[in-house]
Amino acid sequence: MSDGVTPGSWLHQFTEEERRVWCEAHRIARDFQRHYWFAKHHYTALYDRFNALQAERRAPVNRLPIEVLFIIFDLTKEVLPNREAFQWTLARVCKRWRQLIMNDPRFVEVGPKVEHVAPKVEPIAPEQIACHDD
Amino acid sequence: MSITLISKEGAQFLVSKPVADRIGVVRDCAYGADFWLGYAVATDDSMGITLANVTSSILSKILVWCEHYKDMEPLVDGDSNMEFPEWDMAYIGHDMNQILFVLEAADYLHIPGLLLLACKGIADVLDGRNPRGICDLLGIVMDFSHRQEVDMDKENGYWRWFLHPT
Repeated sequence: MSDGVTPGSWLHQFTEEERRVWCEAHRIARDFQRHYWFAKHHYTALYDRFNALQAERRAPVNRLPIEVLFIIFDLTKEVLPNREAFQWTLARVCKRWRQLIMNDPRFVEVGPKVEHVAPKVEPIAPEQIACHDD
Repeated sequence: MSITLISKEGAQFLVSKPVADRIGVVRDCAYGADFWLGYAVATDDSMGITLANVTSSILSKILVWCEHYKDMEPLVDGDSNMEFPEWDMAYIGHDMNQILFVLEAADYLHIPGLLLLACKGIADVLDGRNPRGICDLLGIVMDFSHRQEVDMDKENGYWRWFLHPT
């Protein structure tokens, strides 16, 4: 420090004490990050489970297994307003139903739609053609 | 020969074999072990079969259905526009809570015919409703954010389909 080299400079050399403090700080930060990551997932799982229990208490239909829900979904095809798009009505009810509908290829076409059309090419105008021989 | 069924509250129901045959769980308990053990385990009348998840009122309602179909074969499979007999539709009614309890019990007891009938009952109650109406009827919370609803409107062309069906 006596020669004017600040700690930000690459010429700076840490003393043993500074090095120990920096290592300790990095270790604490790393441990905090790991702890925070686990805690976040832990509390997210708890929160989701609590919400699921609340939903089951509120609505008995949430207790039904998904295979029974799918039978109901199939049978609503004839009674919901639009026969061709009944799955979109069901998919807007709640997140769980939407997840079930959108992940089932019986209700939603999966995969990208490929248009079998040749790419359109604009014709070249004569004035765009430059002749360098002139 | 008859079998005793015990409900959640401890009420006992004495049913005959053709009626009990309609209930998959009871059928398996009473005769299913015949193949493996060489004898049936629950043929003794003194020992009832406890159905811990079914209340007395729902069990009595289910036994009415089983009694009706003890000689006939119920509808167990079909497409979305299948027609149920009038007796079935009158039996299942339009009380959503009742239908849901029957549905849960039918799933637990392995009665495919009654399960399908209860699903049909729920589908009929949902007749002509929009998502908000379905939520109100079933007690489901519509847990989408406003942003998600706007995005869904865009990505599916939902309202175009809903308002102008082709």
